[in-house]
Amino acid sequence: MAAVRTFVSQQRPGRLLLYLVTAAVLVAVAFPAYWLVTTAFKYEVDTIVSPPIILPLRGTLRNFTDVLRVEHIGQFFLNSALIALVSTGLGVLLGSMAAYALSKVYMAYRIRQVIMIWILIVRIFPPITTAIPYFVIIRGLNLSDTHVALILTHTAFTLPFVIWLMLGFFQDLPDAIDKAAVMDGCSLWQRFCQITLPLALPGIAVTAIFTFIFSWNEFLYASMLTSRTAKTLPVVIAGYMSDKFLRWGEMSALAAMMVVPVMIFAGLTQRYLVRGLTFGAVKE
Amino acid sequence: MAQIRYQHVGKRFGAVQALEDLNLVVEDREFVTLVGPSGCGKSTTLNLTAGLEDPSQGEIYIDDQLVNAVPPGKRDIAMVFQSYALYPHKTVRDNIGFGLKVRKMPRAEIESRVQQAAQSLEIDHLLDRKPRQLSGGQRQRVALGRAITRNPKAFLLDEPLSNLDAKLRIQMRAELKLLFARVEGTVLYVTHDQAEAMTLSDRVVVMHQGQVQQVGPPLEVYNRPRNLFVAGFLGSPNMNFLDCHLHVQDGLWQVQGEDLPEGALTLTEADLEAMDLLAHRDRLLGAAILGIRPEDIAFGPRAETDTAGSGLPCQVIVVEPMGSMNILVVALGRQRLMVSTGPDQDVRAGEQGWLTFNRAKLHFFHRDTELNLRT
Repeated sequence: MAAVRTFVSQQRPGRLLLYLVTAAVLVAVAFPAYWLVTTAFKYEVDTIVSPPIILPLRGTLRNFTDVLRVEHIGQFFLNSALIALVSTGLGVLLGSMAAYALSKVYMAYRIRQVIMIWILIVRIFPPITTAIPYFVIIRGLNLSDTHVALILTHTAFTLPFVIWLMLGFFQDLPDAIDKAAVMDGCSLWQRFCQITLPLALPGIAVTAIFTFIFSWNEFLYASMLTSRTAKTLPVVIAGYMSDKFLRWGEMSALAAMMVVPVMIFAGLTQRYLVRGLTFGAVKE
Repeated sequence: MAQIRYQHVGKRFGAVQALEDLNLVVEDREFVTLVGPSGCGKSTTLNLTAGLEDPSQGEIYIDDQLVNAVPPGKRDIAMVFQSYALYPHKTVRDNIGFGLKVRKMPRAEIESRVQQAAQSLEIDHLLDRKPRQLSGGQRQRVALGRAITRNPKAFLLDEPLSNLDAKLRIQMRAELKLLFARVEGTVLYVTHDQAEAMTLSDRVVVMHQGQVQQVGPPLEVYNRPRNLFVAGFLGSPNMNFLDCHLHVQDGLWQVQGEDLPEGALTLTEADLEAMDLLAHRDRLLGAAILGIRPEDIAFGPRAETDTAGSGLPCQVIVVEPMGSMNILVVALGRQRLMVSTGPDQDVRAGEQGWLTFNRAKLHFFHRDTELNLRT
């Protein structure tokens, strides 16, 4: 008896294709990470052979020990962490407050659009176009090679992103909850701190992760505004690259080590990414 | 508790006049329901009372104090939202007590008030749960608890039962009535459900297109609708309307129309007296709209109903057995009428029969102004 072609069996070829595409995307995404980690453990000679070694059969910790022996490397790590954490905190706090104000103030649609575009303009220019003015301003403020210089710069760069993202989250929060808080006698500030922020935690977590990654990896301004005291890790990595040499092993080792704090930060904030936190608040 | 007074209150959103010249006094401890279709201005009235919106014109007084410029939190009014609007990250206990906490009440006092409110709403076993762990009915009770625990001057309820399923809605309706009788609150209640309006209120305010159509006790509004809109809005199934023309012949009032043949419906002076129309009989002459509620029409064979020499031949199109009654859709000429009959009356679709109108319960409306000719 011929097998009955059910709806489910007819879906199978499509499903196979879906798996293949998923696998291809996965490889494309995961391969650079794999390449980074394996290169970090390769002998120097293995990093430059042609054809490249996809599956290394021998490894070394030499690259890591070399990197950790770099003078002041501990301080550079701390610089990166401090600058990324503070600019993330500052950016998310200020950006959320601005976004909340924008979400609560009644204004004409067109005016709001103009304000939002104006906020975004900071990010529309390629960063290199504003590099020189920043350099001059920071030097004029006597802040060259300080943590404050990079914190201010990174915060300024992340603010538009935070405002845009958080505005979306705030607008998605049910209006009735805010009104209920108004009726309960809350001031604007109380509503922001006690009702809106706790409910927007998933949004804050997402925003914070992206902001942290931006600051942690930012190279252009870090290389321009710092030289030693406030030097960050991306600048250190760039030091392994010159017109005479390309030290793939050390670069990869330091880059692999740089990934760890980001993963820890993402892991810590991930628990706030619980979907449906507002579930149960209002019945649509 | 408090009296709420509206004087010429209006609200305009851009080009839309959401509320027009509202003049109303909600007395202390009175339960007043604003009822009307969507967009009639009832929720706007509630938001203006709460202070969530500012009136475009007019004054609102709570206990003789002008509150136009008083912020919502200082008006000492509690509001229950259609969507409950519970704080999802707080427990039931914190939800109920939040308003008291904001007002910096001592912790022990808050706890005792929360317990009291929770007990009266039978949710004291749920105090440590989060809203998402509660059913719709339980969330509704928490929202009510949040309102009553503050002991406010007045309660504003914005369609609080509309998200509940039909069975629970009827149960909660009765509980609401008990609850607000117990707390002796001044209540302004908004609903589009006329059953809630009829059963809960001391007075109903029927609204349409931003204007108050009629204010009065539920039965008065039901029995003596001021205009065509009120007559059509209140009552389920709806009141039937027929275009007609009245003239006097041999001392009897003849009601005639396209589907009302001559002699089918005649009224005596006694009938006019029963309808409270005797004093205004002059208004009756000419074109009018006749309104009659489904329960005021009897359906049956001619012999049984032809007591006053009048009856209208019709055919049953649909029979809707409701259990407690049957709703018939009958064809009277080209007109469709709704008729409700007793559950035991055996009626089949397609059956021919005769309609008799209860002549004491007829309503006549002006064809242009749509006002009840009685008013």
